[in-house]
Amino acid sequence: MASRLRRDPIDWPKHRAAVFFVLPALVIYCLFVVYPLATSLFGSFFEWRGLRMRGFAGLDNFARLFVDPSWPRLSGAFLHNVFWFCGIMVLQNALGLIFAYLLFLRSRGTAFLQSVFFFPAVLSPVIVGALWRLLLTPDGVVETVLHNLGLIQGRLTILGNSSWALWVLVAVDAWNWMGLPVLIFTAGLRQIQGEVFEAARLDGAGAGRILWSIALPQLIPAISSLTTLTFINTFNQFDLVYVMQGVQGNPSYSTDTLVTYFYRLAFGAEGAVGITDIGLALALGTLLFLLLTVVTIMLLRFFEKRTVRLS
Amino acid sequence: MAARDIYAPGEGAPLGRALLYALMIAIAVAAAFPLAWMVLSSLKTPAEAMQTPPVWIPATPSLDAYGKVTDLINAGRSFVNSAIIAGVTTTGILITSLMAGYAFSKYRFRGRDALFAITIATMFLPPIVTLIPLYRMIGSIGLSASLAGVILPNLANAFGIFLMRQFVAGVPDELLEAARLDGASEMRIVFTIVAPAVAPALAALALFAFVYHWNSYLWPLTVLQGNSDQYPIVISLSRLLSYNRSAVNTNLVMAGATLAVLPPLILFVFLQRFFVRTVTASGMGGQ
Repeated sequence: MASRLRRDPIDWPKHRAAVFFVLPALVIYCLFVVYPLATSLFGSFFEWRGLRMRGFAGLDNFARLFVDPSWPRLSGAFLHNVFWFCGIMVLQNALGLIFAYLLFLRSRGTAFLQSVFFFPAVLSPVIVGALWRLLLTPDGVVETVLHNLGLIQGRLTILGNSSWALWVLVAVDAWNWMGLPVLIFTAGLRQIQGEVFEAARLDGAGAGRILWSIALPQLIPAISSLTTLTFINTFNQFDLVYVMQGVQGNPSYSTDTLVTYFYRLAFGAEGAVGITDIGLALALGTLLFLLLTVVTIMLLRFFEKRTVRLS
Repeated sequence: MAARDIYAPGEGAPLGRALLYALMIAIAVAAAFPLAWMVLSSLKTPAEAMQTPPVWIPATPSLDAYGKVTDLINAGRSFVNSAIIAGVTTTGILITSLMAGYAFSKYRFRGRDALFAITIATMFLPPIVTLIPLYRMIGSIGLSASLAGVILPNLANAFGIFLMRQFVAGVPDELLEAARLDGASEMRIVFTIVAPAVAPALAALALFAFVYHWNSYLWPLTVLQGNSDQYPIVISLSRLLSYNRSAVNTNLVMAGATLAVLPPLILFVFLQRFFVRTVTASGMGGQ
C-alpha cells in the first residue's frame, strides 16, 4: 500500500474530497468523544461543587480515592472486575472454544447451533437481568429444577448471598455472550488448513490432543481478540449489575464494579439523591481510562509476539 | 474447509460420538431454555404466572398480557422511540463510517495517519468516562430530555470507521479509476461503487449498531431523566420492573420483553450470515 501511495502524489481535487468525506465523522467524533474525554481528564484535577468546577485540586481527587471512605469501595469494585474477567475467560471463552471445537467436529447443524448460542446476544441487558431475576427467584423455575434433581434443599437465595451473587452475574453474562467466542473460534478453526489436522490424525493424535497442540497455537489471533474484548467489556460492566442487583451492587456491595461505583459517585446512590462527588468520579474515570488503554495495548502486544505466522 | 470432515461418520468410538451428540443437544437446550421460558410465560394467565411450583406450559395460551403491558408502559410510543433512536443512529453510523473509511483507505491527505490513530486509541474508551461532560454538553445545546440528544453523539463510531477502512481497502483501485474515467463524482463512487462492494460488512455493521442502540440503557436513561414520553422500550420495561420489584406480574414483564426482543431478533435472522462472514474476513479469528 505504501508504495502505491508514494507513486501517487497529493492530488488537490481528491484531497479536498478526502476532507469532505472525513468531516462528518470527524466533527461528531471531536465534539462528542474527544472533547468530552479531554474535559473529563482535565476535570479530574479540579475541585467540584455539584456540577460546577471550582479551584485546581492537583492530585487531591486521586489521593482521596485511595483512602477511607473510598478505598474499601474502590478495591472491592476492582477485585470484582478482576474476578469477573477471570470468570468470563473460563465460563464463556474456554467453554466457547470447546463448543466451537465440538461444532467443528460435527459437520451437520453447525449454523443452527451457532445461532442458538448467539441468540441471547441480541437481548438487552435489561431483559437478560429481568429474565434471570425471575428464573432465580425463590420458588422460581431454577429452584424447582434443582429441587427435582435433588441438588439443593430449601430456598434458592443465591442472588441475595454475598459470596454467590457475583458468580451468578458472571454466569448470566457468560450465557448472554457465549455465541461470540463460539462464532470467532469456529471462524478461526475453519481457516486452519485441513492437511494439518489430517497429518496429526494420521500420527494418531486424539481430538483433545489436536485441539491443544495443533489448533490452539493457530487460534492465537482469535484468543487475542476475545481476551481483549472480554477485558474491555468486563471493566465496563454496568447494566447487568444495575438491573439485577441495583446501583449499590447488592448484597452489601458484593457485586459492585468500578462503573457502578463511578455511577454512584457521579449521580448519587439509591436513597441518597443529590449527594454526588464529581471530582472523585472523574478521577476514577481517568484511572479507568488509563487502566483500559495500558492493559489493552499490553494484551495486544503480548499476543502479537505469540502469533504463529505460516506465510 | 477440508478440515470439517476430519472425523468422517462411522469413525471413532460409536459411544463417544453418541455422547458428543447428546452433549451438544443438552448445551443447546440449556442455552435456549431461558428464552423459551420467556415466551411461554408471556402466554400465561396472571394466576398461572404466579403459581408455585411453576407451570411450564400455559393451559390456555392467551395474548392478554401483551395488550395489558402495551397499555401499562405505553409500548406503542416506546417502540417508536426505540425505532427512531436505533434507526437514525444506525443510518448515521453507516454513512459516516463508509465515507471516512473510504477517505482513510483510498486517499492520501495531511494528518491522515494521526487522525486514524486517534480513532483507534479511543475505540475502546469506556463510555462512562465521557458520560458527565457529554451530559452537560447535551444540556448546554438544549437537547436534554430529547431523542435528538440521545442520537446526536452516537452518529459516528470508531469501530465503524475502523471496520469500513479495512473492508474498503480491499476494493480494487481499478474499479474506482474506471468509474472516474466515466466521469463519476467521488460522492457517486462512494455510494454506487464502494458501498455495494462492501455490502456484507455494511450489513454486519448495521446489525451490530442497530442491536447495540436498540438495547442501550445507560445513555438514554441519563439524557432522558424523567421524560417518560421519550423513553425507549428498554427503559420503559426497566421502570415496570423497578416500580413493583416484589410483586411483578411475571407474564406482563415477559410479554414486554418478548415484544422488545422482536426487532433486533428479526434483523439478526436476516443479517446473521453477513455478520458471520465479516467476523471471518476481518481476521478476528485468524489470518
